Amino acid sequence: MVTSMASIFQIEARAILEGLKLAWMRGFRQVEVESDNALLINTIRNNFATNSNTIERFCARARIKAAVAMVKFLKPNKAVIVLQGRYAGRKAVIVKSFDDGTRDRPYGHCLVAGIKKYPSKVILKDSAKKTAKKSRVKCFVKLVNYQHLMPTRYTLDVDLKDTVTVDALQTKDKKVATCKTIKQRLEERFKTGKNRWFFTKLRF
Amino acid sequence: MAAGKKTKKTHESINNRLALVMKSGKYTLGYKTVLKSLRSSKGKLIIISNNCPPLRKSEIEYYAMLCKVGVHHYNGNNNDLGTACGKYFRVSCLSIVDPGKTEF
Repeated sequence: MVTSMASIFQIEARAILEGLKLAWMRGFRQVEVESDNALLINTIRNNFATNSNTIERFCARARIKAAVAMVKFLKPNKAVIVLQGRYAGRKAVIVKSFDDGTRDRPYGHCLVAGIKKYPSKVILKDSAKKTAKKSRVKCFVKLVNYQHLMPTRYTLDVDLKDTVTVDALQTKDKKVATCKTIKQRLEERFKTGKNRWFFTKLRF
Repeated sequence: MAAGKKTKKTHESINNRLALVMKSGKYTLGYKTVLKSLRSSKGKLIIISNNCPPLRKSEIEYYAMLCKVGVHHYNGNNNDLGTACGKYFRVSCLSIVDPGKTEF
């Protein structure tokens, strides 16, 4: 079955690209590529002094895939546990991360929104009024050093980026207003029953 | 992750490779910097000695799991790992940032 026609060079370049993609998917970050096409090898090694646009694209993609890169995990929507300070042991979600710090904080830190007071266990027997009372969440917003966080494998995709900003921490009333919006969003997330791990208290 | 029983031959090869990394590559020694390298995704391989406290070992392994970095459990305690790095102090965990001339 003929799917397409191309030159040998293009096909070999494509094959190398697919092989690198496969290796990347498997987790290999440094690979040795062998080929019997001398022209292709020279092209890749000499930074693609090539004669065609498509061939160059294939080689460029192949080269970029072969570069070693690691996975960053301190990203927005990551669930973390605060380790130090008043909120030690509380679960929080990263809203914004500053990997290289700012002038005021020359270290890696992030803006987190967390739970100050977890919602209590709601049982079937409770009346609607009691359920509402038990599902209340009290929140906090804080800038925390990376060193004082324990990242977890969980994520919490609640959209907090628009309301939770660094200048919300400047004055008390802005902070209170931000916490109110976080509280609303987290409470409705709790009521749906998703992200159950996030809303259970960490026992220690 | 650790294989079953390390033979003497592979152990020596790890030592050789470590020596090569110390000479030609970039690395950091110590728990704090290992976590730092994992957070910034700079680490490529983490090596932990066998007498590293289990909580610390699990913590490093968890971080490494999050950023998909390999962990190697060195067959020796922190004294041996320090010697393997050519240092005169103990090294409980180290992170290889740039392997230099080694291939792994």
